[in-house]
Amino acid sequence: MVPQSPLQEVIVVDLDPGDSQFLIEFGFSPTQSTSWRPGERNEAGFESLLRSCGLASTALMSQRSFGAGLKRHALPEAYFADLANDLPIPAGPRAVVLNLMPFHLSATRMDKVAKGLFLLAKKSGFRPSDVLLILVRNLDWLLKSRVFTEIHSSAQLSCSVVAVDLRCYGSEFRPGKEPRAFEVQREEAIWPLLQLEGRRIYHSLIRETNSYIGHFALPHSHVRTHYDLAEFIRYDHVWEYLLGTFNRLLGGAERLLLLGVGMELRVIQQMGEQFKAVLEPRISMTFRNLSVDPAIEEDWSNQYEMAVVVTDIVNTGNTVKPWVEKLDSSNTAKKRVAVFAVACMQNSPTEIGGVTVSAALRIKRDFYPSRQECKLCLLEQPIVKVETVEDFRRVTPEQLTPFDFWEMVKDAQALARDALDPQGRPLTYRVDTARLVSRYGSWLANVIRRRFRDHWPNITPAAICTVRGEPGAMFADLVARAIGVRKVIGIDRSDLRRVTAAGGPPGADNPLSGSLTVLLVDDGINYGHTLRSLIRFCQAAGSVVLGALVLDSRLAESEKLPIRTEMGLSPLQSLYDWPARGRRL
Amino acid sequence: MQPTVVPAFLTLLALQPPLQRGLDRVVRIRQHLHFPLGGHRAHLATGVEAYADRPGQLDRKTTMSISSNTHLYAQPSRAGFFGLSQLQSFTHDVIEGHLDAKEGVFLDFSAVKVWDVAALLWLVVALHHYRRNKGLAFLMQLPEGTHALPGDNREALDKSADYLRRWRFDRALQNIDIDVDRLLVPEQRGYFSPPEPRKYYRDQPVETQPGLLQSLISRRLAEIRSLADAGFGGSALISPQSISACVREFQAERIGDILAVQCGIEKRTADLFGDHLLTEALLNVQEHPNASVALVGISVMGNTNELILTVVDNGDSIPSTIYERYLKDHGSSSDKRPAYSRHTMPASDRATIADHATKRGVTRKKGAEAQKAGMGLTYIKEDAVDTFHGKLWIITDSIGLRYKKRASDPPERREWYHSWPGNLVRIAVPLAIADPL
Repeated sequence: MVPQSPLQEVIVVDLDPGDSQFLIEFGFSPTQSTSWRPGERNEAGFESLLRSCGLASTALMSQRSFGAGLKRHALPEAYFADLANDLPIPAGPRAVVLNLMPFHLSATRMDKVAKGLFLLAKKSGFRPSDVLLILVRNLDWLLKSRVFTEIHSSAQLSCSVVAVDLRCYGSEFRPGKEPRAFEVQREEAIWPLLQLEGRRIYHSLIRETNSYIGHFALPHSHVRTHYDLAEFIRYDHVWEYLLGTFNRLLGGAERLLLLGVGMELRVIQQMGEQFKAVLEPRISMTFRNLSVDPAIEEDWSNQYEMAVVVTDIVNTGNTVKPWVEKLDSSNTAKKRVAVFAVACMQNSPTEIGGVTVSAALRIKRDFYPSRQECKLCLLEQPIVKVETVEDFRRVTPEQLTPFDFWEMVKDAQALARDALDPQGRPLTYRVDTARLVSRYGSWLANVIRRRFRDHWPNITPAAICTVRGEPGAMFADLVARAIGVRKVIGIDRSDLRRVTAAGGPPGADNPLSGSLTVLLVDDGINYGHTLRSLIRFCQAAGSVVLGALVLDSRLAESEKLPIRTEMGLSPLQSLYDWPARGRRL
Repeated sequence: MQPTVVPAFLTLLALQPPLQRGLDRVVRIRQHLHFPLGGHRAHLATGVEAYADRPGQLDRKTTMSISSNTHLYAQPSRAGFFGLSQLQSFTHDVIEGHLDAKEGVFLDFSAVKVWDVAALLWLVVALHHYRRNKGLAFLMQLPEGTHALPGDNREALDKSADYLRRWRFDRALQNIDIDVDRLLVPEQRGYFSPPEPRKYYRDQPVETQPGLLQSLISRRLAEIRSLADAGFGGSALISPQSISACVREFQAERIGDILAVQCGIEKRTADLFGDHLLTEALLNVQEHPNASVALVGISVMGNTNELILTVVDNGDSIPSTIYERYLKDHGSSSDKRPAYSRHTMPASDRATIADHATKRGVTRKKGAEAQKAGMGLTYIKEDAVDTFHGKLWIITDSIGLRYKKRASDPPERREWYHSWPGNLVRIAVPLAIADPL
């Protein structure tokens, strides 16, 4: 690339996550992972990116988050025009890095971006000495964008534009010149921008990935947890981390036999296909899913430089072992054999059949090799026999068991002693719902979903109604996401107290207007007063109360009945019931 | 109706052996069915006896008019294929003659062995219209193998049933009734919930299942997706959130990698399928106002070796939304021309207007929004035809446009009558199915 004049400033521009909702209305789909967002990515990586695009700079780098704030834009192009107009203009040349990686876009969306940045923004915004570097998930959106193509070809481009995508394809557009295609190195342009440390990746697995907790009986072991690996490997930073780990394992091998085995067939198939798509043609790779085609050619070591057995999670290693042994027995040319796993448990073997296990992550839990050694069996936790991946997704009717609940509370450090409830009454123990939901939200969502389906089949309430403010609101948001309800209405506690037989609070707007059916949600029931107030409020507002769902309840079953009666005997469900209330726990 | 009776008669003669088995099934339905529609039991007796007494001399019209609960038979092709042509015949020639059936109708799909996903989705739009706008009550009989059938026929129908289950046809039907069982004959309640593993289209790799299909199934990419919020009380308008979630889901799965590895399509081109073609087709639904049903589906047609992507909706038609712009571009104004009407405007004009919508820069938008807009259908056409060397089929306001070979070529035009509002976009991408990896 032809070097630019020395840059005086580099400005990295992100779109404010708070704008996501109305960007969605414009057809900009936010990615699920936060890999590319400020605070989640590695800011120091921009220097490496710029260098790989031929924009070496020691200029001052700043980060801006462009947000619409209170201003609503009728059109997305106006939004991007404002973004361009909002940029500071130093005296000397600058590079503006527009980060669009957090969005799934299309050519028509790029039409709007281009229109805003170059046609609607004030002309003095981008100068010939400036460079606009666009980070985008697919460069071809820009190349196919009719608007951008016309702007470039009709010399309306006021500065140079460089675009780089997630696949490492790049293009440079200079005013009056033909576009120039190039490629960047993933290790230099993409990886430095992402947080690819094991700790961060582990955090993504435990905190950001849908998980299932229970007592799972696999063919060779019992385990406590399962993670949705299909979701996990979709995160950009996770995928790049796996790719990097796998690439290092290969150590320069150029002809590879990749064999997939394990229960998570979808994940293994996906990894095999994606490794092959990314690493070819540099590495000639044959991927075989052993579940479909269990044959391994006897002369594999004459055809390939290396064989890798790819699997999902290693517990005992018994699933992988026969294949390692088979590879070893026919390894006449003494080629390398390796095992690559997405994760293993902390007590999993580090070698299988004499071959080192290369796991991208080590989960900080044990597996139990037999019933006799299984803590969960000793504690008589309801058991789920796992034969396929779908079995992991089963939430048993008993959950949350006391063990489930208190293990979560302990792990999330969510137990407060001698605390007061929202009404100021003393409790010996109180659970910090916010910590619990923050740490175990995805698992709780699965339990909520199961409980809701069981007790409210074929119903979706128009809204969820709760008491405004933490912690109940956080739990209510979780319930809403779990069961697919968009509207969550929080009622001020002061308004709850003003409901009488004559109706709702005088002079107040009806927040439930338009919500014929509501599900009441609160984080906990101590005495039931709040819930009863909510019922009366909703009924005064003209809504039908479908029932109530809470995280935990200190009421005995007999004490729940009067509340249910006020709701027309609709269900009152708690995920966990405290033991005897008489002890005023 | 005469011209349709004669060819139907000849077809029925050719199909006599399977038809006889179909008749046997009709008899069994009559014997076992309890259809508490409006409190009345099914009354098929007279109709069935007419069938049984006169095999090979079937006059469907006469038979249908005899019974008060009418049994309407969806005729697949000789090979058991139910595609858009078969759907058109069924809706136009059969169902629409019985929209006044007070006690409802049975829609019998039990002989369908192979489905075109486009026909499946368009069928849902039709049924939604019949139910919601015409008040037609109906129950469906879906294909299913029974022990009474010979082995190969039974296998084919079991496969057909598993296709509907794996592709989540129930999800599409939820746009009509949230409780899908209420749309099926009572003996098929629970049709969509048989336990895994199923015999066909398994979500785990099997040797007999091509790699591409296997990958699509295992990643849930083959499942039909609804873009509406079909909640309690009926379907809602198509939401940008639903479209966004769908776009995110498909793009995040990197379909391009599947196509590159399984079908030998060049990687960068393969990525365009999910990142560009499919995304634009989804976003284009937002250009059809008043849509309350929108569905997207992907499938592989084994006999033609094509990857099929279909998006349907029941919103305002393409010609109706683009009419004003068409007049402006042709030097006329809407003040001087009659308002658009699919019922009075000749088919050729409707086709011309629909084709105009696929031209560069043609949009229904106005004012500032219209500047530099109007590329969605153009991108879809250009990529489907020029990039992927495939075919694009658009059906809207009872006309069909087929684009192939070159996007700049004028489309083939034909009439495709449908009484319901909406649009269908069907993209067929040819594949060279590679050996498994």
